[in-house]
Amino acid sequence: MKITLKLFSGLMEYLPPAADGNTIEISAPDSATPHMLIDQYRLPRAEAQVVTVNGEFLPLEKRDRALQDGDVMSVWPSIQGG
Amino acid sequence: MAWTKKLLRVNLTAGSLSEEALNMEWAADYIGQRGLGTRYLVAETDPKCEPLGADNKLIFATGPLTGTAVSTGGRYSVITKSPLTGAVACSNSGGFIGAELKSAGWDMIIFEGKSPTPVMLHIVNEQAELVSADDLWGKSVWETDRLLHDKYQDPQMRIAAVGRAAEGGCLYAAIINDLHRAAGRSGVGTVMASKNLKAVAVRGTRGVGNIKDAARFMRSVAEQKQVLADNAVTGQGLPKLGTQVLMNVINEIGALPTNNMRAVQFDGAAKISGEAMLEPRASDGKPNLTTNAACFGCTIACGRISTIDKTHFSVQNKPQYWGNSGGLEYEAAWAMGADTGVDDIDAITYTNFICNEDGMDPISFGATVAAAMELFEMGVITTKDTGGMELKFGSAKALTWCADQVAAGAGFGKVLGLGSKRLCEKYGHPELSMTVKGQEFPAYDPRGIQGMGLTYATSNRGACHLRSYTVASEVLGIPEKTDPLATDGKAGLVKAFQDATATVDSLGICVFTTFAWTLDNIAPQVDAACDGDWSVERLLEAGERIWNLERDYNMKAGFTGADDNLPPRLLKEAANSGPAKGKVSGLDVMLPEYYQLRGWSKDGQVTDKVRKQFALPA
Repeated sequence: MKITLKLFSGLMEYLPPAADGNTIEISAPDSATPHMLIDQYRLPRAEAQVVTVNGEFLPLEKRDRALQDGDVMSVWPSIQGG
Repeated sequence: MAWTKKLLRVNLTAGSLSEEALNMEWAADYIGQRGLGTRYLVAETDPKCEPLGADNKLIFATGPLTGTAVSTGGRYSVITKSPLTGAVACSNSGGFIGAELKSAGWDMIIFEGKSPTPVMLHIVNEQAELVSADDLWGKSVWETDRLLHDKYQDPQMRIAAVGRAAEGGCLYAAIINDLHRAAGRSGVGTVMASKNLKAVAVRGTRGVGNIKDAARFMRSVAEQKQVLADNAVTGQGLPKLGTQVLMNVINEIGALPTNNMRAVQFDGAAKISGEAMLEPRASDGKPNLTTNAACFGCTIACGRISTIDKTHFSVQNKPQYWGNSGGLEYEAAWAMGADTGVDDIDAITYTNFICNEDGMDPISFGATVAAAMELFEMGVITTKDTGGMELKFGSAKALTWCADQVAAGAGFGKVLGLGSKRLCEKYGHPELSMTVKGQEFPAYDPRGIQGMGLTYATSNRGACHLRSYTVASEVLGIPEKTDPLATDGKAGLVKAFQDATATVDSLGICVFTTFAWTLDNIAPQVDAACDGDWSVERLLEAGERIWNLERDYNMKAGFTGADDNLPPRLLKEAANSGPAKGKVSGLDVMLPEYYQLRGWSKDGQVTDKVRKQFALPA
């Protein structure tokens, strides 16, 4: 299945050179989960503080659920603003 | 201690200056800066006074930790009655002038009356004098800064000034200090200009002493600076992308107000984000962001220093804008970007420079332009009103034109300078003004982040994110994650944030420390610096007292519970995309519970019981 993975802020450095800015389109097995993708890109799980799939927050306990074809998964480190 | 225990009173009508002892009984209850400044405003002004009349006062107030070694200890606030809202105004700024004022030996300056001619206040330690500013009137903040530095030949002199926007009557004019730090919101600059006060220039060489237990204070400060350095947000995230890191996440979760809040997601968000500020541009290979920057004593350094692409239309033949200056922060980038539909980062950076150069609040400016664009697309505002400019959503040319017009107080800029509420009323559509108590919303849609709806509705200075930043909890999980789409528990969350923020804003430190610090980290530093015993409980009690004092002032000024409301768009028009799709603000559910938690009456009045509990003035 096709997944769009976006890594933001300091996590952008974990993307390969082929990425378009902070975004990469990937082919993933049907059983792929957010944690599997995080591990695949050698992104320390502790740095994946804010994870959304299609804009919806994914708390830690839901990051082992299967993704769906066409999902957009976005990951941020600890961030703040205001 | 930590206070200098002195204030400078400046009677602009008489041209006289006098030194007074700071009221330390009030300082014990209201701390300093926001709290103590408001206590003086309450004591010395009629809440029903005309904001731009001579009876209103303008107070520059530092906190007890301003100018000390504590991290971020450079803050000061400007307190007055707002011409934009008619409510209490309290605008907080960083930079260096707050610490300089404290180092000159003053906790506070109270300006009263109105000068018959333009003047500036020049302070060198204990010496203060009013000086003619005839030669500065009509100049921008940046020109004023340069002329004063040339005149006094002191590169370390710190300057706060108003620009042409304030002189021209823009109701959301800011006071800019150190070229690009701002006491930005609620039109405090407009009040300053109404008093014919152009600038305050300060040089202080005395340092800040009076620390109760200096050795314990320095130990505590060092420990807490390490906490900031070790925290992922204050140690890494904010220095890297600044507040602009929020643009993409707020858009992804469907809470980025777009096109005057008609939508909650912006297709161009990535182009104006913090990440975009790092991308090299085609013309010269340089990114928008040059470096980060810190205010006095700050160990976070979230500030942005940027350049505009020299080939961009906004700066062609304008070399004065080709250098580095204060860059985009999230709220400004949102207001002048997503809310106007403009995804041109150079155009937005240009308008940000203009807001700094001529002293305008970029949030209110951008949101007012967004309202004008909606009215233009409805055919209510036409090119006859604008003199030919087409105010279309997404038009970078329209945006930059509007900034130039408001800055100069010229043409249609006069109307835009009145703010969104008055603009929409003038054109017969008050419902399209995205404001509370007349102040424009910042960058979080209350349909997608429910706590922010209650935050905006109950903010004592009109719509504002910095009165209770529940985004920290609802979106980013600090101190704990709550569901942004739920209303349950938000009344308590908002109250807790409001009280704690009022405390922090009264100490002289930056609220951004609270991304890593709680009051448990702050109290030991205050206790080591200040006379008396300062526990977390005492600090929180002071915060709640300050909140009630501000509320009481507003009630006496004529506000009622009916003003704790949101525009109908946010209550009736559901979010049209993203996770919040189909949601409206649940303000009606949260507000009664909030009043109950505050101990107020069902119609939002501060009760006698609360007044007695906090010993509020009659």
